[in-house]
Amino acid sequence: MSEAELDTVLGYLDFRRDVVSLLGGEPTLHSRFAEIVSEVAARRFLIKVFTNGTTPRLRSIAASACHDELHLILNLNRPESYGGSEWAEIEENARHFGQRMSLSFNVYEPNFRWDHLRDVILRGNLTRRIRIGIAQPIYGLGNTYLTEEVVPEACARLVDMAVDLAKDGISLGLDCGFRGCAFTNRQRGVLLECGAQLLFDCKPVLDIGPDLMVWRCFPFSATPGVRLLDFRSLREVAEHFDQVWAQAMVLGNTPNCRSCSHFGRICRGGCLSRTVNQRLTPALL
Amino acid sequence: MISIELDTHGVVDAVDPSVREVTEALRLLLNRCNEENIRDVTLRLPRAATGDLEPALRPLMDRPFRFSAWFRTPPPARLAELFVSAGHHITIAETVGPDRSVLRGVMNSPAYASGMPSQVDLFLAMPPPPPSPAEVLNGFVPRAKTSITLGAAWNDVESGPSAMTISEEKEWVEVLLRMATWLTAREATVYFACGLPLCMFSTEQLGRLALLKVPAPLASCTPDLVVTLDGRMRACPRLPATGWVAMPAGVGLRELAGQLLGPSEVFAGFCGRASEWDCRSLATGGCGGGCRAHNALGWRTGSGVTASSSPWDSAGHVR
Repeated sequence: MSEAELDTVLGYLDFRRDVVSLLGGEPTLHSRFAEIVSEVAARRFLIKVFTNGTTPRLRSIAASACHDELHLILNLNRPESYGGSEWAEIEENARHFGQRMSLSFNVYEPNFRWDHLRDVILRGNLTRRIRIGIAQPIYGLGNTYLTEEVVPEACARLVDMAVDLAKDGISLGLDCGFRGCAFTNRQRGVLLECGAQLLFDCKPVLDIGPDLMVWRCFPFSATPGVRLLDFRSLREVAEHFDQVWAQAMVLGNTPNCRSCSHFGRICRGGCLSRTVNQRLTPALL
Repeated sequence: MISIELDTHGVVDAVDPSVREVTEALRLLLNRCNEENIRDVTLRLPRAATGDLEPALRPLMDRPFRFSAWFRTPPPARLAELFVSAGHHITIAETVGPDRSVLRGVMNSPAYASGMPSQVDLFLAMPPPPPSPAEVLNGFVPRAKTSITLGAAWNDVESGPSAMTISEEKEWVEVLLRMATWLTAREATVYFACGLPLCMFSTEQLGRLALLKVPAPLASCTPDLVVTLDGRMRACPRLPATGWVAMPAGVGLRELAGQLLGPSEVFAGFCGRASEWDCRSLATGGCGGGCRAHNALGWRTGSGVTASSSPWDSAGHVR
């Protein structure tokens, strides 16, 4: 994304209301990564940088840009999936940013482990909250994701994870795309006891790419996007996507969603991309 | 986070102060809060608040504070209208019973009736046995975008014998939960007041709460500083042990609150695991520990005896 495009995007945002999330791929790969962070910080936006944390370029963020509202979210996989130098950089970045950094973990198999998350948090003195995502089908891409059959097993495992990490004061925060009924009543209660922030929502989290193309959210990044400049506000873009996917949004992930008293209120029936994947017939598509 | 409360109840012979005394004290307090960037100000209105207060308070309401008006008696229509129309908090404090005149006074304000976004706190003393949600909410009409804080007047030095007691807690929490369900079904946003430790709720009840979108964490105690019209200060009124001090000139209000409140104590009787500092809710911030006053003084049963039964079973789960 060029400087002019960044300026255009920021023009659509209000620093008192909007958060600027810098994602990639990997945002530190951008040749002007540090300058972009400084530019956004200078305009008083709350900034979230989503990174894999494997490069020293992350530490090139200027001290002047490190205001109170700059947060780094490090998406961490199992240690064995990194090369030795990559893991060393992760540790170094964690030490460097400390409380300014928190971890993110995507569940892509039901029997996941979390000891490495605890270790990195405690060694780096990171913020003791982990954002939990669930691997969703990316529309049109045929990726590997957590299949419906194993979602309950993965959710039960998440509850075990919450109970275990709570011993060290570490809590979980669910990202969008979870369904309320994926957990039992007791499991939801235990999660609350363990300080978890529960979210059963799914709404457009606009993904703005180079050339100012916009997608509903990451799981729809393989669909044809729309041009930001064709809209007067981000709200208009979000409403556009709501209209495009209106038929799917009223279905929810499962056949039981429509008769559920929580559907459309606290629970959106899970990730829309999963709904499209599981429930939309070719005719509706 | 700190909240400042101006208690306008008469300080001499319980005689209500004049309009001039109230507005002058509020003006001075707001200037002080402005200097210290404190934005949460509660106004505990005189017992016999009249409509005469409205024109005097109106210019002060335009300032960038989050006001909360604490009504214990039926508010004059113009006064209720002032707070609702300006989007400030209204706290309704009354005993649940056939006479809901405070509630009706607020509901009848044209701004509320027109559906303006409103923030209404219900602090209700509930005579035992616990009433049904229908009784509690009798006459209450939640509007879209109404946010409601449900609280309870506990059996402490202030609320008197008609308040809820810990011995009725299990039944009462169920009533609270059903009220929250009723309100959220009508699109109101529900909060729980500071004085409710998380372990009052069973795990199953928390599971139901999770589907009501009640903002977490529960049971966070926000320190209150109370200021009287003659400039004396004390910590939260539920803490009778703290004395009154003159509002000092050279000490910040936050610092003063820290001195008056002291470190937060976790009550050893009500929450067994908390007493061992081994509570997963306290450790993760899922529970703010509940009301400091009750933690320090003990939660009292109807007979005034401190409750001591642990809500945790032998496996460490909430009963």
